[in-house]
Amino acid sequence: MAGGLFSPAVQRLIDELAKLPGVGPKTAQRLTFYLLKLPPEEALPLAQAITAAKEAVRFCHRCFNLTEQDLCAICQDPRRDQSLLCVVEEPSDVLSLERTHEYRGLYHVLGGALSPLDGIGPDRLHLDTLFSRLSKEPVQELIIGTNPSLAGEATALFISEQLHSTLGGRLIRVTRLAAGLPVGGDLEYADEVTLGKALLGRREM
Amino acid sequence: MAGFRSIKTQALVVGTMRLGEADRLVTLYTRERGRVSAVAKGVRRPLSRIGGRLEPFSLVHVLLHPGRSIYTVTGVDTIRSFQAVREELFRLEAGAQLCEAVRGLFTEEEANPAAFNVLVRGVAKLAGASGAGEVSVAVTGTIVKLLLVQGFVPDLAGCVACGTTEGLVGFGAEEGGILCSHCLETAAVGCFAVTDEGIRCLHDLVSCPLAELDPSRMEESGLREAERMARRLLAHYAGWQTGP
Repeated sequence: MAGGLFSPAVQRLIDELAKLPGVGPKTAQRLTFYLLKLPPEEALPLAQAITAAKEAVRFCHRCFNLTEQDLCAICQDPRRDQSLLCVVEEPSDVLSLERTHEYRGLYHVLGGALSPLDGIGPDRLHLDTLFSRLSKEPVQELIIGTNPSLAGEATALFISEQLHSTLGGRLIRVTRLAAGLPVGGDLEYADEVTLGKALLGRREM
Repeated sequence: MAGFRSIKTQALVVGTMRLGEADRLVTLYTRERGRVSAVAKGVRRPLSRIGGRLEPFSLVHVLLHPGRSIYTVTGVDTIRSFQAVREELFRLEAGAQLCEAVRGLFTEEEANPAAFNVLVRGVAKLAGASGAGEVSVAVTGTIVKLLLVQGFVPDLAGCVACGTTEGLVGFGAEEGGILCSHCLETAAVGCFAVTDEGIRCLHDLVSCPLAELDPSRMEESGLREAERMARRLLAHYAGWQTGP
């Protein structure tokens, strides 16, 4: 963008919007002009919502999900099954799993995934707190719900390997989310890796 | 980016990163164009037809459409998925070193079919490796071969500084090979002592075909020294910072 075309305030707004994921300079410019056209009573609540969310929202002390209190709503809910713990990469994954209405256990958000290719090691994730939770809480099954990508698989492998040394003699069932064909998809179009995993993970009927 | 025609080529996936809502930026080492980056659109969605084929270490036939600044992946067929590399942490960490070596040694859009062949053979050997020795030989051997195809051949016949063939006890990546005791003392920081076994292992890694490299014929300590020498060479030629 050529310098000096816009006033400093407008340019600042374009620059800030362009920092958002999936927003390029053109989209940032379009959004800026849309916001500037809005009456103040419609535009300002957006700014206030961002400020309020940034000030109020923090990570749950127990599971690292997003919350406005010390503990998130899931951790506070006594009806949740305390013997099930599902490990996910991001808070958005908690939302996806909650939408299934199939899971009534607790979560642990790692804040990312191990990536040997990008040099992201265990110290960058909430892994220590996971192992500490597992040694203190009455968890009987750990469900590893990391993404079925290279980083997600590496994280799952790391957790299952570390678990044996961390827990000593205590036995915890470790399971991994199934990988396979998506509902509504055609077998014909499935890739070989996914189809192979679906075959390996087939179940009896 | 040469021309605007789609390219169909064999490629090994050496890296991926998330891009936008559901896309990935994949780094491929291709037979026709060397290392290239390409956008794979929508591959993070469960219904994507190509997402599972673009995981790191997969050997694929790929169709790339050149855009203004970057390629877009428009088709992928798996040749070999090398799933075993992704299924064990020790193989995965070793494989990451190969991907790092490719990113460090080869610039974008510089075709090098020999390097492509070495890389594919190296990943295949790694996929079949079971113990620490086999993994080390697969990775170090591949790194050494990648250095060779780029023209970086370590001098192991005699001291690189004075030429003597007696008392060879050191190694210097910056110097480009082994050093005698006298030259090791006066050499720059970063040179280190090695044994005859280490030199012999590195010699084997340089001269034997990848498929014939056998860890059972190498001493473990020698293999570790050869590994250190290969990594120092790689770091030197890739321009990475290394410790003393």
